[in-house]
Amino acid sequence: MSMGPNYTPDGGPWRCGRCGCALEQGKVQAEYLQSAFDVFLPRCPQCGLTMIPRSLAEGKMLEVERLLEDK
Amino acid sequence: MSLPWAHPLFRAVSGGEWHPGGTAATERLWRACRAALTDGAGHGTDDARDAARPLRVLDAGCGEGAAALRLAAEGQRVVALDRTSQPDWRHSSFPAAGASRPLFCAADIRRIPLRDGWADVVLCQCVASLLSRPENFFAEAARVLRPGGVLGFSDLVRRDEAQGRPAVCDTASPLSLSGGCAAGAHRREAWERLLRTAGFRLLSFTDESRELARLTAQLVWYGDGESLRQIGLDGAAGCRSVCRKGSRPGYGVWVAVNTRQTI
Repeated sequence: MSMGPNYTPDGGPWRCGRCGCALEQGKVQAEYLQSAFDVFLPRCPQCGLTMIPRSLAEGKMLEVERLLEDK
Repeated sequence: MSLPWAHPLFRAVSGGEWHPGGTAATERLWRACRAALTDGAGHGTDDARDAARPLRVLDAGCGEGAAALRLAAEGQRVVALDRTSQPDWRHSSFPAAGASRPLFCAADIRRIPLRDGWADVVLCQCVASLLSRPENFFAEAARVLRPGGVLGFSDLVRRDEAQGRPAVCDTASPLSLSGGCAAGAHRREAWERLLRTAGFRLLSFTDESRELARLTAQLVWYGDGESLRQIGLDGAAGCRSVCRKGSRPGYGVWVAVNTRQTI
């Protein structure tokens, strides 16, 4: 899918722990159990390290994992 | 409250075929039906004249008609029925030279407007659970299939102990088993009993619950709160209950042959 939810950092300025660059919103693809999901997340423009905000990890990501795991 | 498949979110996620697995699932089902005919599980198919002609296919509950168009493009003669006509039936691209075009028709698949024994293959994907009396569809499928014709059927399967009941699609949670479209799901044994009662011999069953889980996960991922509420995947009666395995249906795919000897 070309669309994707947009998740900004939960709060405060965030920098890449490896490069020190300020994170920028960018499109990434999350994969889990042979399914792919587009999402816009804060990521390092230099090394690509991506931050998964807590709200996503404990929200949609958790629901989707449970669905795909058939639990 | 929208019917799930009528919602823009559902249509965007499902990619034109309104059932779990989309185009790939239809291709698998079609190949299985073709194989059943070729293997002679559908007896009476070894006649050379029959083998050369296009297959006559009924797509029962065709939705926008994507599967029907694809089968027609490969040269099959296709009749596609749905209870409501779709704009795409008129606007879909015309077939390439030499290829036929599906005949689209708004009709109740429990009263199919085709003569006895017309079809070689009937496809019905994730539709029977929406019917108040699915046994009437199976009886009609057996009637319009020629002896030895093949039914490719898929639908929601209950995984709890409760019995299925007629679907009611305007309730608060269309994809839950407690109400809504999935309320018409049956346990695997119950679906198979309906098939046998109508005169079908079962050739195969495939559990494709993973495809249903994948579709639901896509809806949850891409849907905003309002869209998910509208299709019944959010809120008090929504995702939290649908996400529990015991309250969530599975998805099964059957191939069965019509055992009637005469038309």
